[in-house]
Amino acid sequence: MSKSEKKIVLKSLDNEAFEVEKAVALQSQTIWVMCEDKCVGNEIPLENVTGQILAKVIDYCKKHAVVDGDGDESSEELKNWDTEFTKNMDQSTLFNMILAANYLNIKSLLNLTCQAVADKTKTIDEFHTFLNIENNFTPEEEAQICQENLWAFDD
Amino acid sequence: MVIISEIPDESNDGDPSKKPQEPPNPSQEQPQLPNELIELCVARVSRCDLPVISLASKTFRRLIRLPEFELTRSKLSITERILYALIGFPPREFPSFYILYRQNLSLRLRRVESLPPMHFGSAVVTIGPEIYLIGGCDADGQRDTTDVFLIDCRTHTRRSLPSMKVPRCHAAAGVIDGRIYVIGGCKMRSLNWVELFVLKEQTWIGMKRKKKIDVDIIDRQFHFVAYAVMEKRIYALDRECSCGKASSCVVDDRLYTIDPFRNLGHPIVVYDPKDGKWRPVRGVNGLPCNVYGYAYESKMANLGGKLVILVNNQSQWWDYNGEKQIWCVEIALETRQGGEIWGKLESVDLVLTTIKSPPLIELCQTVTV
Repeated sequence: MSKSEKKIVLKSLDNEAFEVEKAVALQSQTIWVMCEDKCVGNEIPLENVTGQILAKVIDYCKKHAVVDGDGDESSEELKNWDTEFTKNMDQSTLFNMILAANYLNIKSLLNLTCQAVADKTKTIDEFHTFLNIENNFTPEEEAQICQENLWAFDD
Repeated sequence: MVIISEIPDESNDGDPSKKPQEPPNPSQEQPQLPNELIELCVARVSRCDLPVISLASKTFRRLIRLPEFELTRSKLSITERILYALIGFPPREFPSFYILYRQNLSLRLRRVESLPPMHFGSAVVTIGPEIYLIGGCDADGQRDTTDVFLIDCRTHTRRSLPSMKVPRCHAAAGVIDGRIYVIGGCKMRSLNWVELFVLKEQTWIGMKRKKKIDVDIIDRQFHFVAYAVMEKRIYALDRECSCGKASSCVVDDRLYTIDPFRNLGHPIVVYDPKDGKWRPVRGVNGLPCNVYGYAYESKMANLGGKLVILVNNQSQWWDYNGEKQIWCVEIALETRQGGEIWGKLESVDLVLTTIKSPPLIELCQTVTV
């Protein structure tokens, strides 16, 4: 295999092009299927992902491809890297990452980003703000639910 | 996948009771997640936080209670280990279930209000997210029962299973190859001193006795204070020969217990079924003195490879007015070179206070939900 065949170009929604190793890109099931089906040259257009988000997705895939490949990093280190990766993402970035991971079908990234949302929404207020959900309980209904789950609410 | 049909997306305009929300990135439009992706996020919320989340909106409450939600969690292999304790206040208050959970960095016990009170002295086994409570007695210890209950820790509901052949209290129990074996808790002369519950068929079978029993123990009741399964054998500790030990748990196929008399020089000891020897767990310093004093009323569990001990700060036999406490002690374990096992006291928390009659810790079990 020549050097160029090992590389692949991913093109974002806003026309940013990223040249990456095939092994890195193929962690995405969606890209894998595209390559199998109708690989037009070496360039793959990704219509649902912006360049800013795609750059982050590629960072993630690079990190995970290297580790899976030669195993010089422990799974503990990888876990720490994952934690750092999502730690400071704001809500908008995190949501876009979830959408991208879902569209590109990268299971481990989808799990990681969904977990990050779960970790950032511990209280009811965080939940409402973060997921943009409105509380539609009446005060009576709310009191009844609190009664049923006293262990979770008292003091 | 569950469809959430009514996630409101309108802004808070005109509602003065709501705080104004500032999008973190005003230059960009705030993205919305489709419902199935929100479900994936909610499925990863800790079970201890789910009741709080269920207050977020009606739709979420419905979502969390749907069987499909459990399916999503199990498909994603999301499991947590949660410690359940059964605590009674004899003689008046029958045991209720409590959950151990972390609140602002310290551990607490919280009562599970949706589960009814249980019998005293039930034997217990845990299979996945379910707790089986077998037999038990009333508050006076007068009438033993054949009742068997199944607690589903995912939904916090209880249902009855077929009754045993013999009433039992303080029996020993263990699961081996899809069968729950129940031993004793009744007189040894009983025909069904040991019976087993076949999980697949949901039926009880009495076990025939092969050997003749000695006359001097035929009327003995055999009340077990601790039991465990290792390598397909059930180990049980009878109250009469317990020497102050009352709690045990298995970590990595070894049995741990508290030895309040420090016969091996250390308070925590470990039994290896491979060579049949007890050894001390070294390095466990700074245990509060009630762990020694009330070891015979403590209960121990394996929570993610650590020993967790629940213990009173007074005896249930010593009633007085005023506050009584339950403490929780966490000990991390480490096997060092040469196979020596060392423990490190990680935390001591006051997890329950009460002014009722002294609490009786009936059981403490880790459940995988």
